[in-house]
Amino acid sequence: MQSSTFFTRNKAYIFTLLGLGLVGFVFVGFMMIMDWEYFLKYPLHVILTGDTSGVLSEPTSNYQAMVNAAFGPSYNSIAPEIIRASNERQEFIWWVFVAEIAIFCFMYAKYGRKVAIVTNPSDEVQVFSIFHRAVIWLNIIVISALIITGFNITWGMRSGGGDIAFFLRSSHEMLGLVWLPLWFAMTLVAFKDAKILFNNSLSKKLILKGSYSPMGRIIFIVFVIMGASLLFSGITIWYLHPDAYTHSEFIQLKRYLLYVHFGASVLIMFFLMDFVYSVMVAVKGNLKGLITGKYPREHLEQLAPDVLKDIEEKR
Amino acid sequence: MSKPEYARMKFYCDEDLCIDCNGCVVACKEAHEVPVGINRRKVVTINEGIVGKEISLSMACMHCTDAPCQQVCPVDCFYIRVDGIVLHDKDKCIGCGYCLFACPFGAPQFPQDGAFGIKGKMDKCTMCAGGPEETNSPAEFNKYGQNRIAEGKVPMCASMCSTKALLVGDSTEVAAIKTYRSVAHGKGISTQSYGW
Amino acid sequence: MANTWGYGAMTNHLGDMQNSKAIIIFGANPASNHPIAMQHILKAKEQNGAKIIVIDPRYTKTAAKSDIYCRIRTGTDIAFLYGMIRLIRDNNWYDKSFINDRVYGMEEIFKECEEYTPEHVEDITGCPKELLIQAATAFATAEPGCLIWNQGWTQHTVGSSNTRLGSILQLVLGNMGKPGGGTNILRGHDNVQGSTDMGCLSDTLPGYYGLAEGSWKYFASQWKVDYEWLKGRFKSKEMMEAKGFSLSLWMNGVLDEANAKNNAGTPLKALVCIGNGISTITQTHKVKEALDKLDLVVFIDPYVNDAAVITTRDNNLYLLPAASQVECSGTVVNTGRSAQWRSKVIEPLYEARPDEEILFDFAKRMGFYDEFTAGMGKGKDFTWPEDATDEIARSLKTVGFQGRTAARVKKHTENWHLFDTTSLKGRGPVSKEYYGLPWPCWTQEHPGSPVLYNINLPVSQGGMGFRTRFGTERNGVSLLAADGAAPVGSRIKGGYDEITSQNIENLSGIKLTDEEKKLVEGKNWKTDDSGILVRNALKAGLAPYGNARARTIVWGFRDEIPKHREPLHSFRQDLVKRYPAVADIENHYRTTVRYASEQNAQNWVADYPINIVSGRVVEHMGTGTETRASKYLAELSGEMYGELHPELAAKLGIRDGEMMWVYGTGEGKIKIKCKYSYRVDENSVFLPQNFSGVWSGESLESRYPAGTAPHSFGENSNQVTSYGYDQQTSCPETKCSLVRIERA
Repeated sequence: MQSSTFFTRNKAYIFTLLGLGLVGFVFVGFMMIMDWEYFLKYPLHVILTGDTSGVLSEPTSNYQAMVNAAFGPSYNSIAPEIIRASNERQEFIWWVFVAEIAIFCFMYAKYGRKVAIVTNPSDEVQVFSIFHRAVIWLNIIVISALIITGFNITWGMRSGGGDIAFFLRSSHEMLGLVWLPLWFAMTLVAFKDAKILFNNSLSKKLILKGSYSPMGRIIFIVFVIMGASLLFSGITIWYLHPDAYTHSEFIQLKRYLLYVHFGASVLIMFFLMDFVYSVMVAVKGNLKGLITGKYPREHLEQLAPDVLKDIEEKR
Repeated sequence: MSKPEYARMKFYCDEDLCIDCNGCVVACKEAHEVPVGINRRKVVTINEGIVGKEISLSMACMHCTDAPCQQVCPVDCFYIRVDGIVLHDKDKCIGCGYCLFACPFGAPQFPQDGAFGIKGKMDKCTMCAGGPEETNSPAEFNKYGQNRIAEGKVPMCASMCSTKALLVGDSTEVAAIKTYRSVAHGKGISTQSYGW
Repeated sequence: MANTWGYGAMTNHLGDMQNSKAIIIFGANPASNHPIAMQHILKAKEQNGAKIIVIDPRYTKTAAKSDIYCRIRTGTDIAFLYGMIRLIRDNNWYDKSFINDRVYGMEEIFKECEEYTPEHVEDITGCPKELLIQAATAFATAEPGCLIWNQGWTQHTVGSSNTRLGSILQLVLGNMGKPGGGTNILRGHDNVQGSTDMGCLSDTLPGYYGLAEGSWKYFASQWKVDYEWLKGRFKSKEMMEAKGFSLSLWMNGVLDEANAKNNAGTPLKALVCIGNGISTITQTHKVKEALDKLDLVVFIDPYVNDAAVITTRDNNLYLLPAASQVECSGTVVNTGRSAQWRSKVIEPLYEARPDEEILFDFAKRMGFYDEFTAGMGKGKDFTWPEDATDEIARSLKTVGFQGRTAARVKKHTENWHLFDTTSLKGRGPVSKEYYGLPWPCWTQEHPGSPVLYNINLPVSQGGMGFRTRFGTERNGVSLLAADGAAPVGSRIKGGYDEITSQNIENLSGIKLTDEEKKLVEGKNWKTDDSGILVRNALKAGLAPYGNARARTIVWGFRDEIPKHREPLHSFRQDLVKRYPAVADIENHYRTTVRYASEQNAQNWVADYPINIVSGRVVEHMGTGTETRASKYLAELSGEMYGELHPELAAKLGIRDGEMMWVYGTGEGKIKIKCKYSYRVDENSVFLPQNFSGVWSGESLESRYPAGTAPHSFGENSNQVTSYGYDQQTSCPETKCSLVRIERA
């Protein structure tokens, strides 16, 4: 055991916050053309008054009143960023993921894979129940599909549109709806910290074994919060379908939500890739475990003692 | 040889004349057989009922020069004619709705006719100039409505405008009419009525 | 109108409004109800610098385009007008020579206006006196000014007084008979003027001929049937010459047995309704009762008449599908008296048949088809509708239809692009003619008369004086126009009587041959088939109907000069004593109608504290039977609502978009959506009258025959409009009603 200072215990959280803060600061401060004051005031206005039109201050001229009534107010606060974002995502966001993959490659080259030395493969422990596996795999499948269909929208230039792209685009909405219960189930199942609060037979059955490492906890939190944002914004955008006459009442909310959707999707993808790397690539044997639900005892002893401890306690 | 000068087609609605009769809206829908719920054109009234302040205006796609819809479209389905009319290709459109977010005027419309109310392909004012299909073919009509520009006719909305508040045409012509109207105030009737 | 100067029609035409320097609009909302007419008003404002003055209880879309807007209480137009006239009198803005030469009885009006000081008018109307003074000044000082009105004036118990006083205002200012002036009544839809000309009323024969024996005999000769045969079709000669039930009162002839004594001893048994939304009149719940009680009900309509679903009868109710306007041809007459030929676009669809075919079929089965079609004079080989149009042209001499043959109307329609839109004057093959030959169009060569009573033009080019209709003198005062006030080129330089066979030679100075004399013997300009009288009058520059003064006093009317009377259900109970309604009338269009007794039955405003402002929405026409069947219009205006001022709604505890119950002073009640609006004042609710298909909260959609239900439904506002009918014309009072509103 190393010395346990506050810093070493919370290293992961601090680095994550610092990293996000730095990247966020650079983006917000230098690379975005969003009216951040509006971006913050607008949701407060919606929550406090229930008025989604986005008119935060009374129009001072007939012209302005007409613009507000006809097109929705403050076009310059969010819309240009959306135009820019969707333009540039076609061109540049590719490189964000390339960079992330490059980091993984570097890490793989440097640290390699963790492999457990298994001498008695028949001594297996049931880690994931059928329900767990179903939730996990369905999430994997649906999230992958969502990523593909989602990128199909923003990278339409490459597909050139047409019927297949149209079909994929419309399935994005449906898949989102399918993901809602899966996301919820995943949130419940992976809420490992709940065991601190209550410990009964149901929670034992339901919640995954083990406890979180700091990084794992960050990923879980991002998954929950960003997943919620994605679902809320996505489904609201879908069902909030203003006609020409109610356009000005809702367009600002739609723009706002679309921006939230963009942002949340970037963050959740970043951390999910991180998670996939750390589970699938950095450690050997997890794929088999996720399929069969069983791990060799020695694997757990060496690589995931918390899980084993959890399972032992139960017995 | 000098380059030919192309017209720059524009809409203009005079708020002093627009009486919120919705004639343009219905004319447009009837002409193009647009489904209910899709309003390529709409009339907006502000300060409704407030004495001395009520104003109405008819609006549709403004056919911008630097159309944000064109910039934002991920599949690049928009194209701008030399006369400035912004058109789009429904075969390419994937119905993502980005143009709706980008348009400052709320022009793009999405039918909600798919299963579970999924957005269909975008529909918007074509200034009665159809789309990329063969001009005046049934395929063009089904997707985009009439192509009156190709027939040398005024777009339906402006031709039906009961008070001639809504003008459409080459921007210099439209400006000339507006100038004439402003300058002619109080000088007596010297033109034929334009609506008959 | 007709009782003021001879003809009851828009005196000028739509395009002519462009020539005005001021346009005052009372009780009309052309922006919503006549958008095309609004074009001319706005053009006058835009290019002619005309001031637009709107007097209306509601800040309408028209008012939004006005320079001066005066909000008055419903039913107080007469007080407002008298207030204007008093200001005009005191400031000497009136046209002295016009009044001297062409008007009879102006002193009475000037006497009556005395009590309407600006302060008193403010008290009655609720309109600030400053606005009254502004409006009066702007209108009186503009030269010329035109007056526009509509159902906002006619649908009152004092509707006839409203229109008369409006006419008088134009006489005071001398705005009659000149381009840009006149009284422009905007008719509700494209052929209302035409149907009025055809006499689709219970008190006239076609062409405003009246119901006297002479008129019947004249028409017997025009229709080429025997007068005795015609008389035989009626129960008695007395009934033949009695006014019938009116559209607004017929149900009393069914429901109230006491009225049978006016109807030859029997209540009404059957109703045939052709193309009329009979639920647009007040007291729809009485209409329903009457429809339920009748022995036979027939609706002939392109769409299912909404009255057919309102009634719950299950037997002897017939719906005959009629062809729509694009499926038949013929003339239509616009509000400016111009005719236009309407061509058939498609053959009638499905089992629909044109109206005339249905009527011919009726005539055949009832055994008078030959007599029915005899008027066209071609036996069985007539061409419809050309021969009928020519028959109309031949017969309707009072309104000068002689020149309006089918061929000429068609020629105008085909050459419509050759006509000037402001003056209606034609070019090329139709030069010197006016578009659509606005009546009176005296002969086949006459160009039509776009501006009535214009003495600055020769009669042969559309000029004329006021009509000699009320005699030539009264109490020793001449009713004929003064010397010098005659149309240009007139042989007689002053007034003269209407042309008859006796005075033709005298007046025109033309000697008739013996043969001609024999032809016209005993005839006058209204009955002379040979056309000799009219032709010779025109030759001498005389208007066939004479040249008289317009009158401000109508002897025989209940109010000889127009008087302000509080509505039967008045919002101002304190004014009722001073301005009471007339006494109850017996046998008013065969019905006993309550006035004073209804007004005094109770203190209405105590129980029903909210005033109705009724009107139409731009998307729908009439009851909306046709327009609500259009999916696009139904989308734009899909449900019934009531506009409430937010202050009033707050007092009643109703939020925007919530449902509310509206209870009328009759038994009717409707459940409608509340719409916050600043258009109405804090005591009023605006109810559009274009909806039907929901009855006191209950949908009637299931009663429509399969596939015929319209796209939008709504409560019928006339369920809650109060009892009340015009004291002369029996036009229903839809404008002054009181209601009580509760949150639903």
